Amino acid sequence: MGAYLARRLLRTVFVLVGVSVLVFSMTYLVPGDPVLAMLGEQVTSGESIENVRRDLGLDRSPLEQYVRFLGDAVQGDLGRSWRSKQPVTEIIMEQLPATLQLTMAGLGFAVVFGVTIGMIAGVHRNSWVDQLSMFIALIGVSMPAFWLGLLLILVFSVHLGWVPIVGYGGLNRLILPALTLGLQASAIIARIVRASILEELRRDYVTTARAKGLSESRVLTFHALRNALIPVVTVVGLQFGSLLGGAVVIETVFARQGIGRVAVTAITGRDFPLIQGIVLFAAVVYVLVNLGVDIIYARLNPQISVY
Amino acid sequence: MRQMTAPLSRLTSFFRELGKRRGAMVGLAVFLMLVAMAVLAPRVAPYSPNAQSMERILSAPNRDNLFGTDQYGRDIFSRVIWGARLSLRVGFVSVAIAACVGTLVGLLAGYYGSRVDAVIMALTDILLAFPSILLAMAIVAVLGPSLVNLMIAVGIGAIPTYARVVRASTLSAKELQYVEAARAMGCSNARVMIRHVLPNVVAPVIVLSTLGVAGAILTASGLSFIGLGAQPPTPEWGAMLAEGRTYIQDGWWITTFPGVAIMLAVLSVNMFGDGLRDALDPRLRTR
Repeated sequence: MGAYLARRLLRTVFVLVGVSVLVFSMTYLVPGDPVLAMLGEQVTSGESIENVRRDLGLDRSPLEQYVRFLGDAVQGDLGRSWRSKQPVTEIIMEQLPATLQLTMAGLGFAVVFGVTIGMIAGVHRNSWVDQLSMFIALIGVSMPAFWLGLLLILVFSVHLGWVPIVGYGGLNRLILPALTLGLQASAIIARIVRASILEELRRDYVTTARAKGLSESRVLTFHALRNALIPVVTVVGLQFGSLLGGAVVIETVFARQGIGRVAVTAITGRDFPLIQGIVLFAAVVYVLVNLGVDIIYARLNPQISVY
Repeated sequence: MRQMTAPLSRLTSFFRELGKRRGAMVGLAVFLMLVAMAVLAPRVAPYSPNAQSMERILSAPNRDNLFGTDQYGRDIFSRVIWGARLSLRVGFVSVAIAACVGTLVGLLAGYYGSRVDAVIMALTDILLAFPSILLAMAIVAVLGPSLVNLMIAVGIGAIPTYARVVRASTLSAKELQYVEAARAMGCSNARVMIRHVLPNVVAPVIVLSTLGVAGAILTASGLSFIGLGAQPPTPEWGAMLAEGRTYIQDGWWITTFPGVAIMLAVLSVNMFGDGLRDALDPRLRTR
């Protein structure tokens, strides 16, 4: 366990450094001069362009710039937005609660709904219940989330008038976005839970439990299900990332505030410090969540520490 | 002669296996219909996708406009048909980018091992650290929003998945006796990789690519929807939904039909892909 943990932590540090290099080099990959892009339409003399370049430290070597970028980022300084001149960290922290609320609500819905459907399907394997559940899951995987959001708005807000159409704040403005965001993840979770139950039911310990004369429902709840849910931990970690990404689109659909909408405006406005800050922040969160998930998984499944 | 029959009978048994799966066949039929629609768009679409008509603004589905018209009086049915071209092209091209680069890189990593492997796997680790849609957004941010850049972005985002799967298959194929024999006989590395190892990794790549087309269509339409892909007035399905959402209270048909089109495309590919996976490799089934 200790060795596994150490190796896993080392890999995380390496990945985070790689991520920071990639994010840092974004400005270098953009065609054209970043300073000109930043100054935008303003007509400026050559001298003031040089001044800006010096102020931003762009006249130094790339390595020097990267070290400064990393040093600042570690201390929570991600630079200032080119457009609003506000510190990027401040913008992210302002928008974070809304995005986090949506992501967690979507994830909660996905886990509850996905595990339930997956269990029902797995327990009633090959019956019509199973087939229906898996068909619904297939639809869930295939449905574009942003379109589902539009349909829900159409039915529940426009026609029925039950919930406000768009905006942020209050539980009634969270339900539809969370449902929209979580559906696809719940379909993926349902498929995995089902497959995992089927696999557990084939194991020797289940045969033993049955041979002992335990009722089928006891075998299921006390033996198979507990083990079948272990892989779900990993999936939830992976889904957290896609939900965080998915929130970007869903925020646009429901015109909610949040990191995703800021990112979209930043990209269309070519506001690079803000884009870099958001991408770096999201990747770090994603990597750390997966690290946590792997540690939990290793504790749940002692076999893993052998590797 | 005997050498010929072995792979041939494997192929027929594969098709027999695939034909038994009704879901896969339905998926394939629907998908081929969409492909036909895309290819024949200029002939089947009743109107030009961008033809505006002042008299027909926001009219509900009727005999002249099967799917109704949008806020500029454009025929939604025609736009959906033309949209098939764009969405399918995005799906195929981005998957082609991901599958080609991913297979090559995975082959190299698995075949040469040691340092090559370490570097390539480290790079895929880093790429996988970004939530996929965010990675695509970052690439679009660098290249600028357009349909072509969208394909590149979605394609690059999927490379690590292919690289990992191909690497794993290469590692096991390398141990096969006839591959070892080929190496012992002095075949060049390139020849061993292409003639002997590659055929062993094709099956998982085909399955991944098929399911990948579905994923690419979803991601690309999502990015177009938030304005980072196809730009209006392009009749791309995601962009159509983005343009129509302002008029969601004026008519259900504007935001319904492009969405149905995306779902049908993705659903049909997924159904076919699931069947293909089961028929090609039963071991992959639980994933």
